[in-house]
Amino acid sequence: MRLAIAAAVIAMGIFVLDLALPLGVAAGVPYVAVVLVAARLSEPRHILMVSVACCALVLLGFLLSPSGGVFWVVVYNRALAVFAVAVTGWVLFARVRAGHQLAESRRARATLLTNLPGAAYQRRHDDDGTILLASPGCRDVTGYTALELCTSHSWYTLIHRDDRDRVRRIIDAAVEHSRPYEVSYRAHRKDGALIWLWDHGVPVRGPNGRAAVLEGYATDVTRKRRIDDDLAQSAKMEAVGVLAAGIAHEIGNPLAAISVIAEMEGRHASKPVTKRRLGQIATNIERISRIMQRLMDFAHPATYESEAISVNELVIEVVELVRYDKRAKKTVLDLDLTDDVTLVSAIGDELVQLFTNLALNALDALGEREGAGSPTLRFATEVLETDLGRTVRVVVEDNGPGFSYDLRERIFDPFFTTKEVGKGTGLGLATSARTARDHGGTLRATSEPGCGARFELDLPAAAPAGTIIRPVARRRHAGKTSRT
Amino acid sequence: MQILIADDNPDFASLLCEFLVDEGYTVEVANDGLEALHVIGERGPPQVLILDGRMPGLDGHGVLEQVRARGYDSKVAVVTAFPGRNEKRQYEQEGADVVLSKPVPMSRILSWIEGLGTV
Repeated sequence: MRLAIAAAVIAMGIFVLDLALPLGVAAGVPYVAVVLVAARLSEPRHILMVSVACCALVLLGFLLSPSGGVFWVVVYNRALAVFAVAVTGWVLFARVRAGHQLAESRRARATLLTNLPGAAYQRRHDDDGTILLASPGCRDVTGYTALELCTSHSWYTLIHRDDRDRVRRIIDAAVEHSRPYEVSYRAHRKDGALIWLWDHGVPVRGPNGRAAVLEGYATDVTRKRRIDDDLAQSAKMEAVGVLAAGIAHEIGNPLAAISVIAEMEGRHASKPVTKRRLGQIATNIERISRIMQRLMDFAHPATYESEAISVNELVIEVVELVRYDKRAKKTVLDLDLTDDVTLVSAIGDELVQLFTNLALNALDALGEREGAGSPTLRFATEVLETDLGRTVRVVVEDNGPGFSYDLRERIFDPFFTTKEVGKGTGLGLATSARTARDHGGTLRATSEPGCGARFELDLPAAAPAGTIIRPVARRRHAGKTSRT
Repeated sequence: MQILIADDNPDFASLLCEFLVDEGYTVEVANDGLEALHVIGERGPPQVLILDGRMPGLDGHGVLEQVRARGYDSKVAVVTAFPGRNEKRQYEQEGADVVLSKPVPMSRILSWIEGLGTV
């Protein structure tokens, strides 16, 4: 406001002076000063308005000032003044407007970066991935503030060591071919949690033509990845189920014929050696049958009505069962049960089977344990509030040799086993994961080699009693496939 | 005692037939569900029906349904390869007297049939 008044006062002064001086010698060129003052006004278009007003005053001065002097010189002077004022006004207007636009775009970029639900970054393309710039969202993703990241961390120290080489290779290839990169990897948060990051960026070349920095965006996709994994696992199990049912029935009939032949020959055989061999055939047929029956139970588990059961009681039942296993003799059984209500809607026998599977696997693993301290098998329950609602979590943990990440990806696959041939069918964990899913829950494994294994079963807290766990439609489907 | 075996595996059916004939029973063999119904239609319901679960044309469920719908009181053994627990229960609900999993020892089938005679 004060600027506007100052500009007006100066303009009036110049106008009065212009009228007082004959011949229009000053000719209004000093109006440029008014425009210069107006350039400091906040709105760029005000500069244009002031310029137009000044031009009008120049013309008004020409009309009102006493006549005299050479006419064309006077006109020339006035025209020069109008030109000077107009050009100055326009140049200043353009400059101020550009400044405003720049400030606006900076502000918008800052707002966008601040509100981005992930970390936008600029980092050097060097061995460490020195971080030059990180958006405030990096705090939600990594737990570190932008300042912490830029001063005391490099990108590659955030990445899980098993994934670093893979990430480097992908980024090096992108840099070499000057194309964007996209890579997912595991990263360590400040609080120690391991998350999955999805990272997308482009190499930006420096003045020397070599890639100087990487600019991109990384966001936490742990949840999505978990859902994707679960879905993929479900689909896989579904396919295995159909395949298993088909194979079981195709094998069943010829096996039945062989079995009958062996049995009939056995009745008529007189030689002891023939009798013994026929007996061996029968024993082996029985063995195949057992495996096939287990496979069928896995492919089409039974449907029962669920009931509200206390998970704590089931865990105690399993611990009592396991306690007498000869493998458990030297093992410390640690029980850490919550005092909370642990009711879930479930089929008790199936959950007992699940916990027993986990416990026996742990005991097998503890048998291979090396190192100090007692082998310990720990059972724990807790009740959590998750975004899926009230959840009962059961943890079965051992301090055995553990397993690697690669193995973790496969342990829930049917027929995957690390046990010796003949010792395990490889269906225990696959069936357990299926049971967990059928109960609306999830079974997850975490482990680092040498640091034991931990299985977590999450079950939704009890729904009304009498709910059928498996939808009826699916049972029909199972019936159909088994009849084809 | 009249026995009808319905099974699409000819080896299993003929061996079982041979075995039961040796034991002194009168045995008829059908190679699928429709043939089984045809035999029943021609000669009347057997006292014992040994039924395979999976057969082309009409499966064990279908034959069982027809037999029970016509009010025949034949004793029915469903002999099928590795039935799941649900499938077993389903056959029982449909009126099977016993559900046996293939491969099954013949002695098991025989003891079941002999058990029927004493009841």
